[in-house]
Amino acid sequence: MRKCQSVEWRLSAYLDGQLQPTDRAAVEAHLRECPKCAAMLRAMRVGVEALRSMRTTEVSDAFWQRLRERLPQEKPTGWQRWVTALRWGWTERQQAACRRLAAAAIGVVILIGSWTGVKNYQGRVAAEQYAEQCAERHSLYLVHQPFGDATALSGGLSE
Amino acid sequence: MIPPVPQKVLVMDDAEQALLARCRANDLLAFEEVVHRYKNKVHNYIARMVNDADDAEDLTQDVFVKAFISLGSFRGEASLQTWLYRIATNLCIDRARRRKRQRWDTMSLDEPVRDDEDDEIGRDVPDVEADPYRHLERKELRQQVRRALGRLSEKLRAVIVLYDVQGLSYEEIAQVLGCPLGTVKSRLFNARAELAKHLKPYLYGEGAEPHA
Ligand SMILES: [Zn+2]
Repeated sequence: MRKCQSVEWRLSAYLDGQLQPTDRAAVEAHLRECPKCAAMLRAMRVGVEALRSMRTTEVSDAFWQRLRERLPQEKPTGWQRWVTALRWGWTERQQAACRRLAAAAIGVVILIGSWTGVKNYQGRVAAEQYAEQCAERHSLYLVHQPFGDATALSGGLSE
Repeated sequence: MIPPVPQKVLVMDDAEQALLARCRANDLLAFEEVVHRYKNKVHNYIARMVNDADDAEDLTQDVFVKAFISLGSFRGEASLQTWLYRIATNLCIDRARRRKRQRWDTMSLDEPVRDDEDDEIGRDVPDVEADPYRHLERKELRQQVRRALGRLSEKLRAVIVLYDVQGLSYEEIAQVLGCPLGTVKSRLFNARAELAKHLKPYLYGEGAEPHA
């Protein structure tokens, strides 16, 4: 009985081939004459073999996407999140940011377009008015100083 | 004799150090790489610890969320794998405690084990295809083993799953659990002995132990 206890203690190591040769010989000698310990060893071996032959499990396909949504947002820097988004798809927040960004970009384009349009129009109007003024003054000079005067002409235009 | 389980490395190699450094620098791509490397190992461990596919997936998520948050406090004294197994073990033990508080009785010990592996075929049983009856036996045996696993305490179950399912060495298990090598060995023996005791009636029939 005492012998059984000391052998039982060694069965696990015996199963793994981790006993010293003398210990192993002692265990094997006992196993030959003790059906109780032999049955214990057999059950242990069957159990361990079943454990080792169990199918390996895997996480679901959406594992990383789900995990990414759960990670605290401050940790990765902005550009890293966007790089990940390009590889794995956008998060809700990034989708919203994208929509805002697109809306803002369209707004800016419209604004620049209309601004240059107004500027062009204003410029055209100013140039026309200026040309009209020039023509008017020039005709006046011609009336009052028919022989021409360089200083009067330049001074008159910048008046 | 059962061939020895392949032994795993204990310390971080240079590549893992570099990966960890990138993770600490808030490189999400590096963390993704860590997840990619270890997600299935962690899941497999947890699946054998809790025996519930949905819970295993959620708990595996929790492991990586926790790892991500505590990257700063992990000093690299163990390998990433060891560290992740440690987090997983703690979460499984927490879950068991919560469950025990929720149901006072020991119902969970006797309720039927959910079998999510109906189509499972043993990896190393060549005669399974040839003999359908043996296949059935194997399947039933695995169910018995899972049931027996469920009856072990979390501490014993962790050791036997880490050693016989996940293939860790005694040394790495000692690191995972933060206990001496001798404790790992004695827990492994106790776990295997309990497993054997649960399987004996199934193998030899109720109360029909062989006599000389
Ligand atoms: Zn004996």
